[in-house]
Amino acid sequence: MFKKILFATTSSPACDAAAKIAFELAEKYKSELILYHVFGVPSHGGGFSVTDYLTGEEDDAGPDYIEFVKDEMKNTYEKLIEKHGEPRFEVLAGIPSTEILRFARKEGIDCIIMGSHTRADETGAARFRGIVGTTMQTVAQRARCPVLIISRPCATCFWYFNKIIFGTDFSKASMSAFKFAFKMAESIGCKLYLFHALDIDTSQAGVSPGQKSIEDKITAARARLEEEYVSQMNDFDNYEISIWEGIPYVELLKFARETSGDLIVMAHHTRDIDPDQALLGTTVEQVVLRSACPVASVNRPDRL
Amino acid sequence: MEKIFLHKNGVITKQGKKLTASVLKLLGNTIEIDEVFTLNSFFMMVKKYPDLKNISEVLEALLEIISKNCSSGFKTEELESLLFYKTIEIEGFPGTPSLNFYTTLKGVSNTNIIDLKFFHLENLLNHKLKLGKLKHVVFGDKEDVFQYETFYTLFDLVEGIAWELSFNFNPIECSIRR
Repeated sequence: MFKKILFATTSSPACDAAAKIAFELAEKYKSELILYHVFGVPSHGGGFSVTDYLTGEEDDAGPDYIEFVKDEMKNTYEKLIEKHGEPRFEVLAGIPSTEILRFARKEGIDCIIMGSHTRADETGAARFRGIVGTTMQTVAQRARCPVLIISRPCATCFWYFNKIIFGTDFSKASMSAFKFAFKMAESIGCKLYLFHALDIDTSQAGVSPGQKSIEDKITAARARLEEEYVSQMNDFDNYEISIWEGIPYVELLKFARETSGDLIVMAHHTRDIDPDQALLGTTVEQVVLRSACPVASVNRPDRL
Repeated sequence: MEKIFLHKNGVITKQGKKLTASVLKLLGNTIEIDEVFTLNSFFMMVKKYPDLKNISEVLEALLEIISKNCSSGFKTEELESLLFYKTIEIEGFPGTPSLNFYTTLKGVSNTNIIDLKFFHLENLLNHKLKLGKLKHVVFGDKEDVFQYETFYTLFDLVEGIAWELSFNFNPIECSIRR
């Protein structure tokens, strides 16, 4: 399923939940796991000093320092290494999102795994600090492979998971997300939920839609789900179509709760615009922030 | 500012009189809550005064979850009560210096403050809800937090709790705590 998995980590406790899933996923799919850490901003003029992202202190970034950072990472993930085997470590200075994307392209990475935040924020504080970390947002927008965003610890998700929820807004990028969700469901043999939330807040500006209008829209959405997605699933019949009406992220979270979904797969944005120009869609942001299960954000078909 | 009183059964009173007009006029009033006010009382209040549902996108969904699963609601033994409080936080580095203000809902066990996002909503309903002091965190030093007496408005409470509980859509099967 994934030949190469890149786990982009800050090596801080905020990434612990993502680390567990990265190690388990790599073991399950016999993938090469690469732990990738960008530790600081290089000084101007190509010198050997860097400003460490975590401490804010300037350090001499010679070979000894890089070895020191690698040893620190090995200590951080000691228990996971003991259980799942030693991954490959890549450590360098630079702008994290740029370096992660560059490395992923160069190495032909099949899946990037990241935590949603660079720090273990309180839920109350999350509202003004931005929904997701800037690095994650940039990587998720531009990566050519699926980006798995983990915001909470999960004991059951990848090792045993059996319910994948594909949330669609029928955008062009949603087709890439569908292909990934279907490929996962087919290869694992698990249930695939095709979910669409009818956004009644925006469906009729200023006018409350009547029951008949909502029912017509649900019927149309079901037909579209069947035409666009079910038609591509050949003999695969372990699926269910659900269309709920309401605010998309709230409905998706409710649906994931009700079905005990293990993985939510979504496209990044809500409109058919160039993926390079797209901001992380509001629905994805809200879901990533609150979802109890991992969220896979898929924007392009390149590495599916 | 005139205080309003939130009762255990979700009724709001002002100067001893039960509120019958729109609750919107009272959103900016400071609140005092019944000693035995619980999270369930909070949702009873939201049900009684439906205008409050419009304060947050998730309140309707949370009410739906409660009405579907009310029979399974019980008090988790891991918590003694719930605490709602304000925080003012000054940050210096890394990033641009900033002063932030937010409200938080946490669990209390002995003197420990416990994160609620891994608990199921149903299991929190019967816990008493208390209003806490304002915490003042300077430059990220959470070990040495100043605490001050403060006040809360009805809007602070409804909007703040709705935001915090929007992280509690955990599937019933998911029993991870920390």
